[in-house]
Amino acid sequence: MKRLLNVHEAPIILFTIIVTLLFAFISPDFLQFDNIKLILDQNISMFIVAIGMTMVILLGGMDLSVGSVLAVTATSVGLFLSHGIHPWIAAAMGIVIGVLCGMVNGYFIAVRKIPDIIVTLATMYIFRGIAVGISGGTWMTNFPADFRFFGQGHLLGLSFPLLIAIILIAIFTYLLKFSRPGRRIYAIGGNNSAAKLAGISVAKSKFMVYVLTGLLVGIASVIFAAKVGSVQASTAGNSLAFEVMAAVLIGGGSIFGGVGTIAGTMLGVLFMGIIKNGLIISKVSPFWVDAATGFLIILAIVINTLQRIRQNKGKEEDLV
Amino acid sequence: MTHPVLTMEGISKEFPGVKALSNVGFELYPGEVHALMGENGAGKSTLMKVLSGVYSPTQGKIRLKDKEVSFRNPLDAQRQGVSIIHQEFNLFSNLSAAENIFIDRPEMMDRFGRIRWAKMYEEAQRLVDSIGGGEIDVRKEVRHLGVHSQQVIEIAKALSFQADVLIMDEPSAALPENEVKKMFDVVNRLRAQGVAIVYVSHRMKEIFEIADKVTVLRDGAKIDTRMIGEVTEQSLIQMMVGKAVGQLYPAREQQQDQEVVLQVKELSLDSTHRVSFELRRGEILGLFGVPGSGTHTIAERLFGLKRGSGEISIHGAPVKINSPSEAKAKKIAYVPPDRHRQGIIKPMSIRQNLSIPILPQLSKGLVLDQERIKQMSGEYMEKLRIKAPSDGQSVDFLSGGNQQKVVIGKWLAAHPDILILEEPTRGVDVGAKAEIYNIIHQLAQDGLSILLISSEMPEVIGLSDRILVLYKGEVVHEFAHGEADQEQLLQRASHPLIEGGSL
Repeated sequence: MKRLLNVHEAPIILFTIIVTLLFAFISPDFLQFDNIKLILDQNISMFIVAIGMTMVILLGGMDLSVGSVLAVTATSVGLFLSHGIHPWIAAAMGIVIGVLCGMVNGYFIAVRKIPDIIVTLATMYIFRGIAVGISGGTWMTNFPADFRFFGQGHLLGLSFPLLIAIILIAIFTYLLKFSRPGRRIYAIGGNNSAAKLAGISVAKSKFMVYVLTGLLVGIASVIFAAKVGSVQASTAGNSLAFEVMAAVLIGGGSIFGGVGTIAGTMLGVLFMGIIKNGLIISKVSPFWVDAATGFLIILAIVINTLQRIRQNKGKEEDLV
Repeated sequence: MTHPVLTMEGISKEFPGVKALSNVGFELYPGEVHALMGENGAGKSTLMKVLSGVYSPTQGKIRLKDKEVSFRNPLDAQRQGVSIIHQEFNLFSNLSAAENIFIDRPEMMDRFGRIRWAKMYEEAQRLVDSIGGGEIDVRKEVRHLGVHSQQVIEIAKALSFQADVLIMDEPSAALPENEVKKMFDVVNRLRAQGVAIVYVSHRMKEIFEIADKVTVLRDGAKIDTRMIGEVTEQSLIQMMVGKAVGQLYPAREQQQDQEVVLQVKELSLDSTHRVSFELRRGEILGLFGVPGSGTHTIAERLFGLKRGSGEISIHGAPVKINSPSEAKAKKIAYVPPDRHRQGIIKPMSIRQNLSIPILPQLSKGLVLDQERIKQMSGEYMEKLRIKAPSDGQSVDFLSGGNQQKVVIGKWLAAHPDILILEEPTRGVDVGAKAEIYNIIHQLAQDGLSILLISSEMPEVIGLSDRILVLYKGEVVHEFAHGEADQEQLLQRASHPLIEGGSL
């Protein structure tokens, strides 16, 4: 039990269980299989984008532009489809656009060394603006049935998007934990100057992380477009960046970098999904859902902080 | 002046495992400049931190103007009349000089809580004028002011609290030569106004020029307080260094190997200063100098952290080093002076920290070879005697000595030819120091070439085969093996123009 409590993700696991039980107690519908599936399904894009955001925050950075990248990618895919381009090619081209957006962010942040918050604030407007511009302000709809497979199809008895999400989560969890580039991200976030002095190229790692984030958002946006069946450039992914950042922090990530895991973040996304769904099922007025969500986020983060303080007790006092 | 403004009696300060001050007494009279001297680690800064309210003493009393006082924090000390000016100024460069002097002070507000700008500017200007800073415009933002003016602002800030006691920590360190005289003028004015000044400095010349009295500390104890007329440079140095150099340092045999591993020719440290030297295989070359002498810049140049001109050859082949990763590729390793900011990665375990510089060697393709990492980390845990339950322990929980061993270990794992050690035992207790010295000794014995940069004289003398003394960006002296003692070393480093050096 003690060992279990020392797991990095322990607070969020406990808190998620408590909230889940609470909702189950309030409404018998909550713990139904269909409802759980719905929660997972509704948050697929968030799961995928959150993988990228975890890496960004591990570096000590942030990315405000993910929602706009999602909009510009999804809108482009919609345009490709309306011009009769094959769904698979349209999807692939969309993902490439996501990567390009990531390269733009990465270039200014890693190479030109402009603070990430400034760069992504600017690109948040730029990418959103491009999305609205190319869409001409209209909805993208009437996607071909083949395309909808990406969002609604099934493979091996699992929903196709869920399968993709699971694969991506597995790959990136493995990379962060066991690969050289993964450990570099932790090193840079943990102590930038020490990492530099160890001969690690901070710029290269940063660039890579923003590009990978672009790639992940690209994938998420294809799934998003295919699942929803329509895209509105001006609203798609509007609050995505903030929700995903919140999920990373709830999952035990540190805004100062160096601390956090994909597993924690995924629990964070799940937690946010559960709250939203649970509040609605519990008949909380939809007007109050945002306020309640915010309150629960703070509560989760306070609990994380308490755990860190507890772990730091008994540390040797520093001389000098 | 017969009545002291400040008396410290029987001050002791203990940290876990270390007694930083034991039973120190100190008296300060109004209108005197009292120099406080001692080697690094002698307890000067601890004593001043006690006096300025940063630390509370484990034992002892402080009496200020005949009243026993205890300071809860630096602000409290300031309010009661004791101010300190640190070597690094604490100024808000984005705010005006006047605001810096009167930051967050209720007397500068009107009854609606609005800031009374006119009054603030007026009083700030008056204060600055009173110490001879008439040319400073207090409306100007501090970042537009020169170093001397910034120091005047710091002093004015202290005076605005009606300081009876002003502590100046290495006040000349940041100043260019021609501004030191201006600073002395300010100090003289303060003295005339009856302020008691504690003047902490390494620089002999200044002490004799400005101080009335001098107190010497060594190993956390007070050695003596004398009138400045009663002492000479030599007698002060002797008081500072004492005689005993213990068995901290392993016996060193003269190295026979003549193979030059590193040759540096005309390496630029700044626009005007260049250094040249050689480092042989298995040699420990000590670089010693007071802050600002350029020893740190040499390390930065060799590790690719700073660019400039000059030739660097390794094993006879000229090389260019423009970044740490290029230095690493040339088999140069660097243990930086600030372990917390530049050395360890706190959220990571010992094992992960050890593996950071050599990730490429520890992986197959992109994927890390966990077995090799485990093996490597076990090896260096044992070799360096890093004391921890396991190598999965977070470095944040280790003692300073063990953290330092991790920083050294991660570079040893990279199998360097040249190891630059800067302040390798800063903030490390005596037991761990001895262990680190043994490690350094053993590494040199095994053929590693070591550049040892340290401000601790016994360390430099005890470990080095040769010592280069630097002063303001130039090598001013070279001591051969066994030639240097602390008196001579300090003399060369702090006042190189005096010839001879025998006591």
